[in-house]
Amino acid sequence: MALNALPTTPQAAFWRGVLASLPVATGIVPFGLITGIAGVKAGLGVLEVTLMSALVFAGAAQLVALQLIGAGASVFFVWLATLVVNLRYLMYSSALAKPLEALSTRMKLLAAFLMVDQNFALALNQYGVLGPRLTPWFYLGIGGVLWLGWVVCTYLGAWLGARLPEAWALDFAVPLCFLVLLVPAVQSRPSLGAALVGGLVSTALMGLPYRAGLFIGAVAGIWVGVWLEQRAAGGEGP
Amino acid sequence: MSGVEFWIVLGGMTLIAFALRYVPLVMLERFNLPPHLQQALRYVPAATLAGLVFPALLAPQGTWALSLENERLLAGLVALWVAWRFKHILLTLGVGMCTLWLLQWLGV
Repeated sequence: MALNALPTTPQAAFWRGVLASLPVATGIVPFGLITGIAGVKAGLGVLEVTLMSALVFAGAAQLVALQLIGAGASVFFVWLATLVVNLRYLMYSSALAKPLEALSTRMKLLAAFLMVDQNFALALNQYGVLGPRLTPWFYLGIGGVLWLGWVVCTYLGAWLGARLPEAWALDFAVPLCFLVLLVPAVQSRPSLGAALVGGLVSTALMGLPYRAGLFIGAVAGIWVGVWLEQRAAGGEGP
Repeated sequence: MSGVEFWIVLGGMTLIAFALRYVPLVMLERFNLPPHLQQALRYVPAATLAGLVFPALLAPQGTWALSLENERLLAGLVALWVAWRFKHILLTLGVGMCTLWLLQWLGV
């Protein structure tokens, strides 16, 4: 089976990445469509939303930012949301420093730009098999397909969103998307506590200007999560 | 949001998203986050995502609506069960939206 044979050249590794990305790429289709729809509902034009997907290339951060833009939040809070939601990339990037070491300075710019959850996980998983010479190209192959799919799906969603009637309540698809992401993020008692406190505090403080309640809720939830974890680690506590 | 304001927002978002991905990648020494920050980061997804989901279900009109007449809360609970049971994006979106449409059509 040619598919199971190890790639021997960077070019072959790139195409291996393209192939490996196809199953995960189907997962980004609904997210891209919803992001496009959310952009139009937030008052942006079709091209503006598509450009945002092309430049920012971070689904959850874009959806949060679009919610905030639609609610009339200030520039500062949209930036802060982008920062908070994307903080996980600090971890991805530091973990990928070794597997992507062989790339030139210019290609590292591209590699950073194309970094998402999927190619981070797959490249790290395949590093042991592909090694330092081939892993970067495998990674870039996945990233390239996902970027293209993300931009195309956002455009289609925005185009569609501008044409679908209000009565379809499509704005409800945005919290549903967040719900799909939330469920796997809650895998322990402390993270359940973080979610419950973060969610309830945000709801209680909904009336605050600039959607500041979201941040106060997030800080409260994170604090509760850390506190519960430390309490569990310390037995019955101090 | 005005045109100029949008470009400022987009420029900042682009820079922030890129810098977080780029800086650790090119740092010569291994980039290690302080343990306390790492511990706190683990709870960022649960706390922020819940902060986005809860208000949309518990208070869709801007005020608490904890009743069976809140169609979005009911549809959201059905979607929550589907998301937890099947861990499937499209299925969750489909069931959640269809439940909302059904409830709206029934006029609950």
